[in-house]
Amino acid sequence: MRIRALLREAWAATWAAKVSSVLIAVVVAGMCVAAIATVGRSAAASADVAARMEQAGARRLQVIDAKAEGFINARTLGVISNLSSVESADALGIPFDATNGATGTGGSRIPVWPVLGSITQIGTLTRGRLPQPGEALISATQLATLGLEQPVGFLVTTDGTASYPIVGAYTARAPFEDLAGGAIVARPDGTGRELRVVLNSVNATDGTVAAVMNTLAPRDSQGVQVDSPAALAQTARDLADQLAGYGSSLLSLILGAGGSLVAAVVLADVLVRRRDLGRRRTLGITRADLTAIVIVRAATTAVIGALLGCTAGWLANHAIGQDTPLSFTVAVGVLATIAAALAALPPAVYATRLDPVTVMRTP
Amino acid sequence: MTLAVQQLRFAYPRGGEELFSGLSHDFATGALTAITGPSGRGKSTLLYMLGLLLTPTEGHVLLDGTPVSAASDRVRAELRARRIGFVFQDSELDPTRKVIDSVLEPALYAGWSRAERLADARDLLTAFGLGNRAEHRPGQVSGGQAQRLAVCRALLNRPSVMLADEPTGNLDHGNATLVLDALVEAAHARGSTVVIATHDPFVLSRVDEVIDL
Repeated sequence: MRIRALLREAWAATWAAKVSSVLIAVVVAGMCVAAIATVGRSAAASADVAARMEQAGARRLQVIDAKAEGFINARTLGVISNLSSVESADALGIPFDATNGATGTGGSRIPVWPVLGSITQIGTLTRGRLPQPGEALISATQLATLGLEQPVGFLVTTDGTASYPIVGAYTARAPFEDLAGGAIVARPDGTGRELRVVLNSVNATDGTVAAVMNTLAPRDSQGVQVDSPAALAQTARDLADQLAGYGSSLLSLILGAGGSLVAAVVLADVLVRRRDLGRRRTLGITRADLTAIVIVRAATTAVIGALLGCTAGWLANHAIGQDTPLSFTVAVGVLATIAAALAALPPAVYATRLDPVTVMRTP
Repeated sequence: MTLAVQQLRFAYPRGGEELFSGLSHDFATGALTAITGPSGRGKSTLLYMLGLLLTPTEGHVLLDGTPVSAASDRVRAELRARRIGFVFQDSELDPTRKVIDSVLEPALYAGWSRAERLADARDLLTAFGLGNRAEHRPGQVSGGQAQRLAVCRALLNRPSVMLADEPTGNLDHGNATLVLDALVEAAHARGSTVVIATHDPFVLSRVDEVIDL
């Protein structure tokens, strides 16, 4: 048979057997809804974990020079900033307390962090200008603490030995949110106590930690504290693996159960329509063409069921605020259709093995 | 000879009685041959064997001198579609399709497209006085008309062999005459070898030769 004639015959058979066609479509739609409602939520949770892992805070590598060896400095910071796996690197000195210079050393205190590296990676300038060495930016949330309406004036250390002109205000960026509670002073030529590195990806953690430590080359490893996202990344990977394993098992179960139902419906239809099949065999249809008609017919209704089921499943998850990834939704529809087509194969083969003589001679 | 059988024997599985006892026969081209005999002697079985739906236990069915009864299922299916026309006791038109679709069915199995043979199908229906029934459903035509539609379906691929199993068994005399006229025309005017399984004396009176089992 020609392909077009075969498709036309399959569609005519689909239209002729409305009950079984609707049943197949309903079963496949049910498969899709069940898969999206269960496995889809796992996939959404997995995607959410992956997205969280890609946030800057989750990609932070922190190194502390606990014994003040001075290995965190402008040179090492420059090298680390240029590593291909590093998005940004900044270093903070030992914080100290300061007050509004206009009110003297007895005013409200805020912490001040000396900053090596780029100020713009730490915060977003909201008013004023970027500081030159020795100048300060004050967190926009701390202006009132110091009794300031505008970021002007100067900060003075609590012992009164140093002062820093205030040239602007900032809001802290991830992963420097803790700096929102004070001020920062540009000190590019000093040494830092704490190095904060934002990685391009948590998956690059191990290699980047090794490269950073090689660059810093501390004399005494006991004096170095390293806080990396390696454990977090491993946890995320384990969680993703568990979700994927659970999801694939559940999906297999749903497809298997649905496929069995489709096979039962197709078999019942073959038995009901055996006289039609016997006539076709007698008139000269080949077994291959008859198999194709039965499978195409099941696949046609499965496509309709998959479209309806995927749409309903996606909308149901959307209604409860758990958007299923579109690629997953499409994949479920394709898998359900393939499962239905494969499930129709055994009944289709059975249909071709029916003895047309027996069928046609049975009233 | 278009159609012949040689040393034919057949037994249904599980201890069925052996039939035909080595039957050999050449079926005359362009003639009607009736297969008759008491019930259980294998009239329909022989017909289905000639239609390559059953394989003889011994012997051969020959088409144009070539043994074809032991050919592969695919080859036999293609021969049925291209060379053999079937008329069943009940017309066996697809109740869910239009009459014209039922008539076109064997053409699709023979590899034609619907469009390629639509005009031929309409011409056949017109020739058999059924031109105005093309778009009807089988449930909307009489039993005699349905059986003549079945003859049209069998003739569409211009088969060299036409097989009819009790084609008038469910018809009154008038309709039986019309159906027989159609089969006679298929044999005499179109040159088909027509074989009819029947025990109807009226049919036997219209055929060219009789094989009495």
